[in-house]
Amino acid sequence: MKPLAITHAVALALLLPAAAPSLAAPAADDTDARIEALTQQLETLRAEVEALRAEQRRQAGATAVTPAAVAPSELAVASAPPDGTSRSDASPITFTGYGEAIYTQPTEGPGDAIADLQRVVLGVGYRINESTRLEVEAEYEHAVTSADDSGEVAIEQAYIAHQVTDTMQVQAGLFLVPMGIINEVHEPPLFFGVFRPFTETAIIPSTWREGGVSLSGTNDFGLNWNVGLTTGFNLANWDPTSLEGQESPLGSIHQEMSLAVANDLSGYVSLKYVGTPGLTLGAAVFSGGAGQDQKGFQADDSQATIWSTYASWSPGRWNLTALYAEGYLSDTAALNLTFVGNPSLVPKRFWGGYGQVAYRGWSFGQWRLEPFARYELFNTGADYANIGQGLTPKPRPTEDVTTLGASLFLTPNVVFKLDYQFFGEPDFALGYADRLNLGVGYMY
Amino acid sequence: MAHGITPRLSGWSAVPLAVVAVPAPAYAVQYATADQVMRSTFPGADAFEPLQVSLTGAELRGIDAAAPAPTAAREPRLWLASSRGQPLGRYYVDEVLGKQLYITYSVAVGNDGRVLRVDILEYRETHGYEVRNPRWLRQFQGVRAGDELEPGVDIKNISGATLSCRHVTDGVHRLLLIDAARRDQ
Repeated sequence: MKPLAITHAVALALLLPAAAPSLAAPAADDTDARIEALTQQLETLRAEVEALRAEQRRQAGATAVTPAAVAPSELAVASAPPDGTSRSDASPITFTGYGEAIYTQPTEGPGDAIADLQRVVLGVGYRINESTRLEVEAEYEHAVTSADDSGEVAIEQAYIAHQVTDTMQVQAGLFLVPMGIINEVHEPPLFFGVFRPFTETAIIPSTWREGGVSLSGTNDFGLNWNVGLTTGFNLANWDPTSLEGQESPLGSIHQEMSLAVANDLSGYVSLKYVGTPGLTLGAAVFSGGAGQDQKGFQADDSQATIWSTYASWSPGRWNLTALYAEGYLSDTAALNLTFVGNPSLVPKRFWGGYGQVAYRGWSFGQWRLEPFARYELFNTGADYANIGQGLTPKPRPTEDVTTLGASLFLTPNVVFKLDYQFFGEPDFALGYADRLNLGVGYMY
Repeated sequence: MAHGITPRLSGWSAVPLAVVAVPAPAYAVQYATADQVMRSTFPGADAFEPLQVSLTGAELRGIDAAAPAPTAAREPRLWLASSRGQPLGRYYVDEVLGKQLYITYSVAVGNDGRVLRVDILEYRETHGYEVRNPRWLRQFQGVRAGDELEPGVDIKNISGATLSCRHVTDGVHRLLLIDAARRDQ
């Protein structure tokens, strides 16, 4: 077996330094075993030489880009993907978006049926480098924005995100406050109901964003954390003649980084536990000056604080979600004294919460039907600062809303919605009237 | 417009700063490379042979119809792990869309066709990174082709990372069908 003998000779020459101690052993009877071992080592070397050659060839002639994480030493050899390779590096630009059109028909009270292209959001992401991205989202509400129309055009998000480590990220710019569920995740296929829950519009003023910097991270335990220093609310924007403050106290004084008065900083801490599959627990608190230290303003020291907590659990095909949020505006007595006689005084405390049951129901081909039920309690004026008997407003009645409906998914990204809402305390001025809602929503 | 902006830091605002100043344990966590994952999954292996998946167009179309997933490449990359010529399992690396960008992930499959482990090798998006959570990924252990893998039901979603969870689940489902089709050849 001459070829074998030559192979062994080469192997011996190559491996002599490493093999020397064992070769020095006089045991002639284990020669075969040694030959076997050397053959294996030779095979390993041969594979490595082949690997290096292939790597050289690949580098010389490669047109494909292999993601850095998948280029491990010899293992990348000859592993060029059969039909090209990763698209992940193809373009630094990504387009995203979502939108929803609704039809709502009050079945009680004087309200009209309304059809509305509620929002169209167009997003563009740009990869600046491997660890830095720019994300910008523009939102068009109610289809037309002009002097005669009530539409709105706004930049919903515009921030730079930089990956500091594999598990930690810093953001700067205009971004969503991580409070509750809907504020960050509000693409129509990702929440139930034609309309977002009241707690997450009237109490947590989604889509709520602030300008500033944030640092967020995750760990193997499944605890995600996010802290930020941001702009905040401006109580000087409170309009006592409008009902807007009763619809959403914080929603009527948020600044959305449009020439935001920024004498006071705000900040938040948000925690989310995702370590147990099927269970998500979240809690967040945001606080900051709402008086903005403005000279001559009666509530210049006012502080706005809001906190929320939620749990979402998915046993089997069911999903059970509960959320609670509560907010406060401090030092409002002097300001409210100047508002006496107007419809909307500034509340001291406002709160809301809901429980929701959804069932990941039935599939018909690519269609899927998911029914849900939600019961909600909220109060946008639960308490007012004392400004004297007869002047201090009475707490608003706590509103309760039951929503029954279903989402019909054409694909996971396209949804048709139908629901009916029952209001326990009808208030036609605020639109709290039993109603039938239809909607279509998409995301990409 | 002249706006006198002189931010002042209230006492409570220092709290987030204090949190920022504490190094998070997450600092130490590193992504694994395909090489590391493969070697730790098959510690006894003495060879990792790169292979072509080599399914016909009709086979792949059938798989894509049965288990559609927004993957980047027509076929995943594949290595066969073996020890002294005896196969130990297969290791696939693939890319699947998160929300906007591709997630590089890998699936190690044992000789019995069951998933040994799923790893996220690279995540590129600003949100949804929760899919890297080891306990979420452990849901795939023991799963094999033919098992129900409905995203959100059989493999639970993480709120806030719904799309990444769904697409990785779809990707694993598709890889398992590819793996089964290869073995049937």
